[in-house]
Amino acid sequence: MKKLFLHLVIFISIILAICLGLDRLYKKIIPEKIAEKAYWIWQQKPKKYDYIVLGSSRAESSFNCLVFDSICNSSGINLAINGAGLIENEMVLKHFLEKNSTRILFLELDEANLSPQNHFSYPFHDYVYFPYMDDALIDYYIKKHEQNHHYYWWKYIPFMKYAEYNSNFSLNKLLYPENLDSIIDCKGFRPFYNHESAYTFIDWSGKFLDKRYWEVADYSVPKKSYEEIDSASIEALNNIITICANKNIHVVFYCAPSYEGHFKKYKYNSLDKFEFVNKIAQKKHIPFVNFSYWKYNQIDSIYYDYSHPNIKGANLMTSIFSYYYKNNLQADSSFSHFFNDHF
Amino acid sequence: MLFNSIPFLIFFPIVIAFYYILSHSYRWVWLLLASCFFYMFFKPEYILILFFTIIIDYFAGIQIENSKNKNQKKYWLIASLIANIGILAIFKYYNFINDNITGIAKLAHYTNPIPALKILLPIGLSFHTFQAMSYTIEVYKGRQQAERHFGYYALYVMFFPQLVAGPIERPQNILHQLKEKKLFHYQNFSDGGKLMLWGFFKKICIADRLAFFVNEVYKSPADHTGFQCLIAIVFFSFQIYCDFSAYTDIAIGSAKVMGIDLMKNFDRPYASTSIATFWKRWHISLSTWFRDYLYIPLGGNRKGAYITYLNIMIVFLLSGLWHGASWTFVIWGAIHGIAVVFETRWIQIKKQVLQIDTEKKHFLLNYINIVFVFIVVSIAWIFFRAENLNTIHILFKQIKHIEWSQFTLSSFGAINRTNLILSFIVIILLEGIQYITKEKGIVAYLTEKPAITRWSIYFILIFSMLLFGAFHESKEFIYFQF
Repeated sequence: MKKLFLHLVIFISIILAICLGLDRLYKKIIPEKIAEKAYWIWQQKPKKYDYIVLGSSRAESSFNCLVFDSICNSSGINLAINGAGLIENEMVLKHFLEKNSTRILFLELDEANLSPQNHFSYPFHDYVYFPYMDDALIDYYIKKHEQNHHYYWWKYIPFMKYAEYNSNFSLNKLLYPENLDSIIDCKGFRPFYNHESAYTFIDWSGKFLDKRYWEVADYSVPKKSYEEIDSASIEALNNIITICANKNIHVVFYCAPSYEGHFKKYKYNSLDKFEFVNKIAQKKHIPFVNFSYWKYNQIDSIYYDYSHPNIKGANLMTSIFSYYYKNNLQADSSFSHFFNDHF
Repeated sequence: MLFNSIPFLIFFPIVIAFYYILSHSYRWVWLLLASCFFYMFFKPEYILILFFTIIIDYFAGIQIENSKNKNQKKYWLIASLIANIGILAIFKYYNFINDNITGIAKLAHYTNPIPALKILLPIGLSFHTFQAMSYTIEVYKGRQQAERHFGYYALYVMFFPQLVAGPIERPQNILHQLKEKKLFHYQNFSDGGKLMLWGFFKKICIADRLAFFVNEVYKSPADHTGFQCLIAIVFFSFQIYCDFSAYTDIAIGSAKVMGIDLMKNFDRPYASTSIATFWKRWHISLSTWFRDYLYIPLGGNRKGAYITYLNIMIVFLLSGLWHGASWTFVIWGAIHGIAVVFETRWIQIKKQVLQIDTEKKHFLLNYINIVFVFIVVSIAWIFFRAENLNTIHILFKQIKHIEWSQFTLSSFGAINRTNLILSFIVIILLEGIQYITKEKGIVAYLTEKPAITRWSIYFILIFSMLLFGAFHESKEFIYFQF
């Protein structure tokens, strides 16, 4: 028995020591080597902005800050993150406002981030923020939104969190980092696809799809299963509005464009979500700019896939948005006259 | 509770610690409680089904032993078998039979009035039912005394390491071990721990890694090339072996830590030179169950060639059905049955007609046979893995249209490419380790090595799991569904 205890103590001590070393190493190198938008946001130097953009990939890939800045003569940053729901948006906003400031928040809202369970990493991309778990804000969100045993396992057993998500932090990614230049150059705008003229229907695995298949097979029947609006996301949305109100930040809701097929498919789900957003917008005097109905939603060449415009589509949307903002919102300090504008 | 889960990592040391702290007379209580907790972690209410069969078989065993004449014994045995098979029939086969009746009724333009049952299959039902049945059969045959202590009998059925996926034990092997006073031995700890570590490595680093690509292809074979389908088929052969043998290793290792020896369930099955040999090396506890309780009672090979073939087919078709209530499993069993019948016939022809000595084989021929067996087994696995016959049809269609141009890594996406390379590396590693340890087994092989080598291997295995293990792909063991 004595021998067993001795061996177990040595064995566990060696494992813990190695895990501790690896934990420290990963904590340091992951934000430097892994191409995650969150790490780029966390590394931003303090600055005063005219506006920020929050949302999911639909905001990240549709709002080109360079275009907006050139038209409106402003300075903004796109903080939207691929796969992020409103809870993650709230966390990013809180972090960002600790050292930065802004006058306006453009918040992308749609049926996906209001009922995010089936669309996003729900409740948020916890693993991405592991290197920042010592930060009280991150710690609070992980503890609040994760199961207790997960939280304690990740927090107190060194390296286990990185091991559990080793495919996201693979040696391959750490040794051969991806390039983040495109985000840096475009102030956080991350186009999904750069080919402007190419026919670019792509499925989720990155495979090019035949348009016929895309429209007929996948989108001929509207999706009937109703997705409830998520209460945690509503809470996060209200928190975002409150934070902005406290900091004198104007909020503008917008809904990024979708290809018509997508809209038809999710009509059952999205219409009441728009109604929900309208109600909040009216109640709180927040403009809601909805690109779901815009006239370009049947033009294939401006879409990357069903719900994301390509760079051409993003530039088009941002231009329209910029002029709309410039003509209707920029001069109006109250921000209280424009609801539910459709294109 | 899954072996490869955080709760088990907490549960197991606690169970072991109290197992050795408690006096021998209370250990069965502790192990029984632990086993109930282990099983109830999946779906608590299903433990009632388990208790039902335990109570029936416990009393049936005693009644069989108390019966004065053979007929009476037989009635009690039949009662026990009906109870066990009845539960299997309701939970596992009712909807399958009903679906088929509905299909036939549709053909005859009738509507099947019998409703489908909305029930989930209790986890590991086929395993503990077969283990319970082996007890009453052994008591009936007079090879095992009826267990009078209800607690020990319940523990025989519920012993947590092998409760949900075997090995399917015989009462002669395990009941007396549960009753014996087990003293603490460092060697048991060490040997059990080594086997568990190897099991965890096989599950987390190999089986679940391979599952990544296999699941993707079987989910939508039409979206993959013939070459990719072919790779998925080969990968599944290794995935299911690593998955199931990993479970067995962890089960045997966990029991070993408590000083209890469970039976061997795998013996390098893919090194078999015939399908018959494959079944002597794959899921040994089930093969021997069917041999002892079905094949031999049916007459085995004692009633002439054709009855032997028929018996073989019955055993394999039922083995297919044991695995799952679906025609794909029946076909899987049939493929193996037909292959064994052909082999048996071929051996007879070689011996009697061609007068060839079947015992002596050139080593090259052995390797050719190994490859041939692997191909047959892998083809059969397609039926085992596919959700339905349509998936199988698409898989074969894709393979039929295979082209040389598909044999490139570039046809795989970036994620799949990395995964593919890792998958090949782990398969080569597995085969290498199995080849090196083929004589003595991994535990004895490691035990003979100097401490520094041994400990280095432990750390390499542990950190390989942490750095390269797949923790999100396929956590459950494949055989849990049976």
